[in-house]
Amino acid sequence: MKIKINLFRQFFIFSLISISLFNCSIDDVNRRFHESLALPQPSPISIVDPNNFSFIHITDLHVVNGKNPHLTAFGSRLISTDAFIIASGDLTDNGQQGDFAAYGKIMKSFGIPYFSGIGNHDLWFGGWDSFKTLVGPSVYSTTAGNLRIIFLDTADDTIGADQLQWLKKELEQKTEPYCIVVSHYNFFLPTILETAMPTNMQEIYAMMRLFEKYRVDYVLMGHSHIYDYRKINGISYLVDSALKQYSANEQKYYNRITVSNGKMTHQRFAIY
Amino acid sequence: MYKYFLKSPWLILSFILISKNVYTIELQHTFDLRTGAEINTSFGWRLVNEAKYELILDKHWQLSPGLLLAPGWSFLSAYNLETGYNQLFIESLSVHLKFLNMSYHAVSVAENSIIPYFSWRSKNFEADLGLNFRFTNFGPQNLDFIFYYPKDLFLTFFVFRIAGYLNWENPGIRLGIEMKNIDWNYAGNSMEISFDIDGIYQITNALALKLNMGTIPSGISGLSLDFNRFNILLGAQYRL
Repeated sequence: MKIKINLFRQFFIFSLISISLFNCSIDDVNRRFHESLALPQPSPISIVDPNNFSFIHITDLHVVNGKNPHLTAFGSRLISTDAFIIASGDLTDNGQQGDFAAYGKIMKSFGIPYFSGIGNHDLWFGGWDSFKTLVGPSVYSTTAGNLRIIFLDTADDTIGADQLQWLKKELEQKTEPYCIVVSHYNFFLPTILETAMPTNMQEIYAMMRLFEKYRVDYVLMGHSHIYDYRKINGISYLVDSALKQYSANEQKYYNRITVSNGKMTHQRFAIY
Repeated sequence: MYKYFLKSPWLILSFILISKNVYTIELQHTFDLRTGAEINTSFGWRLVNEAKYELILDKHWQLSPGLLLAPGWSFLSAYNLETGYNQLFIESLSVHLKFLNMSYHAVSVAENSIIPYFSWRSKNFEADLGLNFRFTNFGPQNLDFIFYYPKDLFLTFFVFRIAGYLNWENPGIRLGIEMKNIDWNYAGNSMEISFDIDGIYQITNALALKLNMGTIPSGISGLSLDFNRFNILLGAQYRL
């Protein structure tokens, strides 16, 4: 059977193959999930006044060549009520072992506990092996005083069946009055020109319904590098802008989430 | 009897469906059916059954409703009402407006979309490009009402489809590959891109068999891929 292929179609096929090959990671969230459960889980932390405290959300640090000056500068903005820090993924720019080590060193220098999530950049070029060795599991659930903290692995934009079942079980079993869930991938598109958003809304809606049913207070996210806040059916969905360094003189932000008088609220602050 | 005919909308509709001409207006009818399965990494598998009817008046005006029923791990139903104008300025170009309702019954969430888009159709290349103005309805009311536009969650995406087809010695065979985030009764997120093999075998001038097989990876926007979905659909098309 003769097949005539003209130049245009050759280019089209070439483009498709190129797109498929030009990916920095092809991974399996189910495999990471099960490996995470087998790793030592982050310990719960106690809080002096579990009904009045604050914690920090930062995201998309993109530590590269062992440094991120914005992350380093951020440390001076911590206040006495900040009990811990949450970093929701893209800790490194391209999954390099040295950058994971540098991230840990910088975070430890702040002197308060921190919890880390995994992002798509952390998986690049085989980054999962370094992440699980130097950072820890990508999926876990722990507590800080009266607060349940659940970290999801959405680094490749899907959570998988096993992790979804695990999330449901964790939410069913929680007894703490406050609860946050941390995901690297943002759930909603911030602007029409942005491509950073989930592949499949069916997973997102399934998780949203779980959050409503089991009364999650905040869902902390990153990935898009664009600040976005929505309150939908009583749940706060907060995406912070990135701490990634693009240029020398730029403003960067973090969120302080405060638990006080039975409520959880957030406020955005500039680093500089 | 003539008066009874005019009073009966079903008779009028049936008459139009089998007519090739009404007064001097040329009618072209196309019926599409397809069935298959979809496998989803998070939810398992489900059946997919779709139907589409297209009416083209005088080679230009298009009206096409469609329906999708997908029972399985999460029952998804969808239907759309689409209108359009073919051969806009040039033969290959057309413009469309699609109203789409997709209901995820397991979680009581529905999406109502308004999708204006342009289409290009040539012998070996097809392309669609448009916008999806999507309103998400968290229920419980009006989940199946296509024109319900709540403000709970409103997002806007680009929708697109590009397909390239090879020439075969047998002109009845049309086989190619496509990339798309929109289908008959489905409009996905911007990066919910399906990479498909699309084939049509024209048995007669009126009847064709169709095959569509595709995979949708997750994580394209983050350059960190994982398997998300795979589907295979077999169908038939009949043209009057």
